[in-house]
Order: sequence, then C-alpha cells, then structure tokens
Amino acid sequence: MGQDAFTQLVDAYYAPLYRFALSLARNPADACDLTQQTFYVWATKGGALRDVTKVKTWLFTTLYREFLRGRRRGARMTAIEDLPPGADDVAAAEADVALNMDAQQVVEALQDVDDVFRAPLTLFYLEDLPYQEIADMLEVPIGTVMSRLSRGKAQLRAALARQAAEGASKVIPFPNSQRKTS
Amino acid sequence: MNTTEVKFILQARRPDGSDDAEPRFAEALAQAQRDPELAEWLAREQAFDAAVAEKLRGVQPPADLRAAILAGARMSRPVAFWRKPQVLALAACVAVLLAVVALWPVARRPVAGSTDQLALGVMSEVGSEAHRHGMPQANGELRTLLTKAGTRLAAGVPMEMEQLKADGCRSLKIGGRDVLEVCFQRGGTFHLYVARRKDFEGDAEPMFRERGELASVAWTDAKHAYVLVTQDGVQALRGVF
Repeated sequence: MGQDAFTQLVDAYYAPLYRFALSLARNPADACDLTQQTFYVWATKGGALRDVTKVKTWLFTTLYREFLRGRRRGARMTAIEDLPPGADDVAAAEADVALNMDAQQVVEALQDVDDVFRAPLTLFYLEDLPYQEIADMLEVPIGTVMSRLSRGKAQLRAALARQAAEGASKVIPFPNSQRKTS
Repeated sequence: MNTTEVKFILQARRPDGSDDAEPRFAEALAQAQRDPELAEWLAREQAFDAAVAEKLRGVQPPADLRAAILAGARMSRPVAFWRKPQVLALAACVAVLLAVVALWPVARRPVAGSTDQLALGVMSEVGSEAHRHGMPQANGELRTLLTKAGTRLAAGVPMEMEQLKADGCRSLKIGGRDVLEVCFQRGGTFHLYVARRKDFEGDAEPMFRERGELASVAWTDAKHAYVLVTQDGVQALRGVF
C-alpha cells in the first residue's frame, strides 16, 4: 500500500477507531496508543489482507484484540453469570438526559459499563459494523451480541442517571458566614 | 413473538435504520407498529440511542493523533525484502560475480571440439552447393607443396594459418571455430581443411571414414588438426596421405 492510500485509510477510520478505543481504554492517552498500535499493525501486516472490503472490520478487530492483549484478561472482566438483569423499560427522560450532557460525559458513562458489554455497545452506537461482523470480531454468536447490547444499555442508562443525579447535587453550598460581632 | 421478544430485538436496532431489512428486525418493527404501547416504547428507545450515538460521534480525537499515526507508521512500516540493505548487498555481490564469470576469458572460450566433429563438418561442407560453386585453389608455396608428387600430407602442412590464408585458403567456421579450406588436383580432386590444434582435439593417428560418395581422413600434428576429403575413394586418399 502506497503512502497516499495509507493516509486515506487513516483519514477514513482513525476517528471512529479512537472513539471505540476511548470507550474501551477509559482514558485518552491509552485510546491514542491503541489507535496508533492498530495502524502500526496494519502497516506491518495489513498487506496480507486480500479482501479490501474487510479493511474496516480488520481495523476494529485488531484494535479490540490489542486492547485485550494489553490488559490482564479476566481481572476486569465481568462473568456473564454474575450480571444483573437488564432493565425492562426506559424512562422517557433518558434521551433528554443524554442530549443535555456533553460528549465527554456520555463517554464517561459508557466507560462505566462493564467491559464485556462495552465493546458491542460502543460498536452499536458507532454504527460502523453490521451485527455479523461485530459477532465475528467478538467471537460470539449474534444472539449473544444482542444480549450483551441489551444489558449494556441498561448499565449505560444507569450510569447516565447517576451522572445526572451527581450533576444536580453539585450545588455549592453557601458558606456559613460567622459575622463577628463586636 | 411476544412483547419481551420484540423489545429484545428492537433495542438492538441501530438508529440509522441499517438493520431494518433483516427479517427479524422487519418482523419486530411491523409488530411494534401495530401495538401503540410498543410503538411508544420504540420511539423512546430510538430517541435515546440517537442521542447517545450523536454524542459519541461528537468525540473528537486529539489534534495530533492523525499526524502521530502517519509518522509512526512511516517509521515502522516494514521495508520490502528486496529493499533491505542486506538483500541489496547480496544482490550486488551476485551481480559482480556474474559479471566476472561472464567476462572471464577462459569461460568465454568455447570448449574444444574433436577431430571427429571437424571431419563430419567438412564432409557436409564438401557436399554443399556453395562449395561446388566456389572451390578455393592454392597458390604460391602451398600450391607447390600440395601438387608435388612426393608430398605426404600425414606429416602435416608446415605453414602458419596466416600464410595458408595468404596462399589461397578460404576461411570458414565449423562449430564456431576458424577452419581454412583449399582444394587441389593430384590424381584426383582433394579438399584439405586445416584448423588450430587447440580448437579440435584428437589423436595423431589418422582416422579414415566414408560417407556416401565422400571419403575422408582426419589427423593432427603439433599445431594443426587436418581433414582431407575426396570423392575419389579411400585409395585416392591414401595416395596423397
């Protein structure tokens, strides 16, 4: 791949990859590292990919694998059987809650979602990959992707609600002034 | 499909509608449109998803990330194997070696033929139309030598190649090597071919052979290889040999 083609590839995918990385890694520095590492892997091994239509999936999959490789797997993973059930309904105000937050707050809420749900949830919102490719990437059946998505959404709503509540409670109390009387 | 199943499917419906063509989503959507309560739930769900997706898309990478990716990849991109210094050096060595071999004088010199090859070559030449229409005749010292009744060619022709050419021999190539040709009459018609000894290896012992109407004898001395050919038979050859 020539330099121009590589630049075009970076321009097309580095932003969504960074967003995905940010949701996984929980901080911008690690997200940058993950994104860079993904393109490094592409630069060294991407030539072996024969189907050019799979470039996007290849990049997201590589980023996710790099993320998994770079951490102690299992330490922060939530076992599926220990998960709480998903919320049944959505409060009507939740869309407004999300809309009234800035992007950083939404990302922080997303980062509160358990790892196992966060990857499919972020990919769902990035709208970049079809379900089958998300399933292939996570190496789980489509039904499992949808199940994790359901539970991830429930955790995201809860996290957004917490943030909204914390924001509302962040009222700086008026300091008690003790007037000195003479 | 009950309400819980419809919700399970539709909560996975992406806000941009890219999943709507899939049968399971299409069926769940159709059911939601028939059920006002489900339709209301779906509207809230889609509004929530659209809001989160919009916020997520609003996250901008750090300003220097793109430049860092391009610079880092440029630095770490593997060099094509044929551009690696070691490979280039090896290729240069091979090229030099090939050049040396190609230019080596010994290697360029053709391997010496045999007097058998010379004999077969000249017999073909004698049988050709070109030869019959232009038989070179000897003159000078060579003519004297060849036509003298007592001369026995088995002792060879004590003349250098250049002198033979000067005395009427025609030059031709047999097997890529220089061969001189001269014809003379002495109780028959004879065709003598002379080549450098180093170009045609063979025994000093004469080798007589017959092919069709032609008879020949091949032999060598210290400097030259010879073939004498005639259409007058082996006995005629022996008369001058």
